[in-house]
Amino acid sequence: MNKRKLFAFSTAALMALTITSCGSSSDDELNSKVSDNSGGSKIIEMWSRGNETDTHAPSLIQALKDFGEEKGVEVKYQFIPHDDAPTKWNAAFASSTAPDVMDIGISHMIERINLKHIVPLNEYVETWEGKDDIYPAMLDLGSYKDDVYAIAHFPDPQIFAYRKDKFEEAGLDPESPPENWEQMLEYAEKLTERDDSGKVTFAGYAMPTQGARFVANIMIRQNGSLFADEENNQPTMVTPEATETFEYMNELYQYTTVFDNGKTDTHPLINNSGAMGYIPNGVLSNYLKNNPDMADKFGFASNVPGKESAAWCGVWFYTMTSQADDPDLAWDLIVHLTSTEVLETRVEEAGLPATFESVSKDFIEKDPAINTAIMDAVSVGAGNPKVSWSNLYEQELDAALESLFYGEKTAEEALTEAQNNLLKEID
Amino acid sequence: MKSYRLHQTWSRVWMKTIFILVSVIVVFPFIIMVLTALKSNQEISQGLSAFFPETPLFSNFVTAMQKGNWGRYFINTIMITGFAVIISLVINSLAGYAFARMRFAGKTILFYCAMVGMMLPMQVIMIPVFLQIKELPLVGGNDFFGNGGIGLVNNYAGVILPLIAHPFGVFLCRQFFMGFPKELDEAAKIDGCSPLQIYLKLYIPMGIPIFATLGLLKFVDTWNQYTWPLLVFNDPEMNTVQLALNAFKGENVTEWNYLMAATIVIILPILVLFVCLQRYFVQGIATTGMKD
Amino acid sequence: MKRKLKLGSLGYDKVAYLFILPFFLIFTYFYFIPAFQVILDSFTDYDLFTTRNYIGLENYRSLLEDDKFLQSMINTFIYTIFTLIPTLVLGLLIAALANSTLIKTKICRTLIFMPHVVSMVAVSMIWIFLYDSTNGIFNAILQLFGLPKSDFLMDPNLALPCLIIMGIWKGIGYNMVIFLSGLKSIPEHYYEAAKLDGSSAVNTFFKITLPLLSPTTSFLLITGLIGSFNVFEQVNIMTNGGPLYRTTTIVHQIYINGFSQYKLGYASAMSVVLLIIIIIITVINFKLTQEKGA
Repeated sequence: MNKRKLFAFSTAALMALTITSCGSSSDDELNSKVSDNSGGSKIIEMWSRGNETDTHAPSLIQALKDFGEEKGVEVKYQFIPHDDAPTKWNAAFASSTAPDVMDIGISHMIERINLKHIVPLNEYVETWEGKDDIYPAMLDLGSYKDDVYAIAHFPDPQIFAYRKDKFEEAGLDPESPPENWEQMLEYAEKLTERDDSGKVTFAGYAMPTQGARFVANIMIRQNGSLFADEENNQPTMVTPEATETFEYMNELYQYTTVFDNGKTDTHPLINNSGAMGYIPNGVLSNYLKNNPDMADKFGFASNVPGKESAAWCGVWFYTMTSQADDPDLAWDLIVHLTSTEVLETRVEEAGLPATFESVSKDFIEKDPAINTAIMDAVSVGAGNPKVSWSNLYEQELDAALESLFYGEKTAEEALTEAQNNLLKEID
Repeated sequence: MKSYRLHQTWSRVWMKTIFILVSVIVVFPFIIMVLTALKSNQEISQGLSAFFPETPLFSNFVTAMQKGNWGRYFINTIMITGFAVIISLVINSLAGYAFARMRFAGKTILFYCAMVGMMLPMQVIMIPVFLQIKELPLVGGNDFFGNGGIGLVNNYAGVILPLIAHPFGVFLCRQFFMGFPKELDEAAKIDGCSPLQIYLKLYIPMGIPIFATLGLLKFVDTWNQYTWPLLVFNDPEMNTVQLALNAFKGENVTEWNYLMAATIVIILPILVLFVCLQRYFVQGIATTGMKD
Repeated sequence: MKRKLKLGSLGYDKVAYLFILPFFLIFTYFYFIPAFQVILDSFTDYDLFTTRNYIGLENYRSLLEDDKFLQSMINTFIYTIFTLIPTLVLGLLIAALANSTLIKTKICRTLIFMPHVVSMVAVSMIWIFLYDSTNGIFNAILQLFGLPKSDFLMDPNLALPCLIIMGIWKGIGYNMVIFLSGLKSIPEHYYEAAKLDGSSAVNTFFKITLPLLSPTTSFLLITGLIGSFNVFEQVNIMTNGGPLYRTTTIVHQIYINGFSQYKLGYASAMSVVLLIIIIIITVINFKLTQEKGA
């Protein structure tokens, strides 16, 4: 009987709680609606990917608040989890409830341009002070077909990392990473450990089985080519350079343990099961923060060049949406968020690299060993080829590499199929 | 008689064994979850070499709950879930009662329409439903035709409403109510009871097991909602607990210990509810003796 | 049959419409109209943002040539059969045990129900942990027994079975609870009669329990079918359809085509095919259970 009473009581309490909190929340909303309609203070809305608890969030929130006070407007902001950002954007744009300014990643840019979700910023950029300060490569990454669509603020490159202690054990010089492709292959063989059945237990080279497109994008550029003709918007997967790149990747693949690039927690380099490979800078720095004793066991380079030097560089951009109420104000916000002052605070608080020369000095000084490699990677960094079908490109490239690695197809067959699939979809 | 008793002891032993075995297998992943929640970051990155945490860090639970405004998130979630469960029980059981007991034109077609409606997965109708939320007439600044405002976007009702009409619930209630003895209805009708009175006086008290079951399932479903709150809310203050879990999932790193700790805290209320309701939904219908 | 006639003679209840009104208002607005929209979109080249153009059956014609969609159908069927049947059988078995008055099972029941309580997102993350090819717990167990390590989710032949095992694990508790409430509503006197007749426990189970349980079973079968045909979340999180498209499911293909390539018209055509398959199976199921009942 007591139990029942308790249950009834807690139910009643719960109901009371819900009713009161509902009441208060609807009041809040009513208030904000009123201010919305009164026109007394303008509202500008900004969406950023990530979370309020991210290391860089406090500096961003502060910058937004400062902007609001300075301009006398109300700044609304929201953080959206990375994986869900495209879904949220789609729903928002389809229903005309999109924000004024939003933060996007490099792999989203072309897609959002095609969907007409973000607008060109040319006329603003021409008179922009930061134009001379931003790295030209970074400004270029935010452009598509002669138009600037996005202002890069945070480069997130994949850097080449290797284990000095493992190099020493294998009789290699711990102070010098492999210098070219042949050497990397040679090193990988020496560094690999296998069990009795021949299965790799320690990866000489960490090559992802799923999501290997990052590595392919780096290596095709290093091999002096591209998987696509950007000018004519056509795939060029069937070339001698492409086949060579695929075959080289397949050779490296025999020295790896199996992992999925999308699940960064499983990367062999941070699981003590791999000796070298490309890894997102954020993943590695976080691992080193949690395991300070490993810091001196790692060596870094921006990349291991083939015919040329090239690295993969993820970039975060600020963009103005097509649904911005007041474009001038939205641009002012972007300028404010990319000002030296704001970005310097971010370097100090969160240790994130920035895309502006004036800020990068501070950044390198913080931790020269790894940060030099990061900024080098930024200077030779590039993303997907800029074609209108970049989503499909990623999907087909991943699929082609998978069928190559699992031995379903040869390099040439895999590339030919990808090429055909792309051609079929494009027209 | 003796052999019967012996037989009974034996079957008791093996039944117990099977049950415990199944429970252990089922619970195994949760044990891993708890162990992970108690580890330090370093122990987690060491993988299996640190299977058990050296010193269990119960402080992880506290730290996890301090990341963000969890009190607020819980209030939001409890409110959304509370409303969704209660309203859905009422409207679904009313419809289930009508389909089980009343005769009306178009009954079969309407019932099958409802059934077909639940067959499409949420991912398929996500965008059209979201547009419906935004274009609901006469709310959130909308005119009669659903234009001009933001409808139920950024409103708790925008999450609750799409969840409450649940064909599963109608189906389950109908199945259950059809098992009731029809003589009861007829007797009540002869006594002059209206259908609503029959529903209130007979079906609700007798249907407690089904309400408990359905309520629990709806509770779990709403409590674990992710996509609707994500799409509808544009205000961090309105976050639900499931959305708040993202605080531990960065682009590059997942804080497994805090994530698991918070997940455990989130499932506790449902487990408590399950234990409380268990006796209702396993007691069966008290009146089944009258069946047939 | 007789009873139905009797009720029929009482005529139609106009009040019934009031009873179903609240449900149907919300249902129509939030489910039926959007679902109808999807069916209409399947005949267009809708891309989420520009205006729709009617293109007839073009989407359906392309579907016939889509190898990935065919693969996803096969995967979905395999997943459904191998998840649904074990879940139902195990759920019933455990419910039957729990229904017995011989043992106390309150704690165990709660434990077995636990997987249903946790969101699919959280569940998937835990199982990724377990299946991990370098540091995973399952590999540690394999090694304990001297067996070679396995790649689990990264192994083209094992990825789908891995998802199936997780699906069974998650579904047993829910099936147990529903079966249990079904079992509890079977009147005691049936069993007593069977006992008097000297029927064995197994015999009683098949002759009495199963037939009387058929409404519950058909409910679980239909909802289970719909659930496993719509399997998506764990695929998206754990394998993203790979390796080599061995775990891609119908809804996963719908999602990829709709929201990563914005071919919403095409994705809608896939949805319609999915809907038709589910309807056919449900109708067959209804027919079978009705015949059994008669």
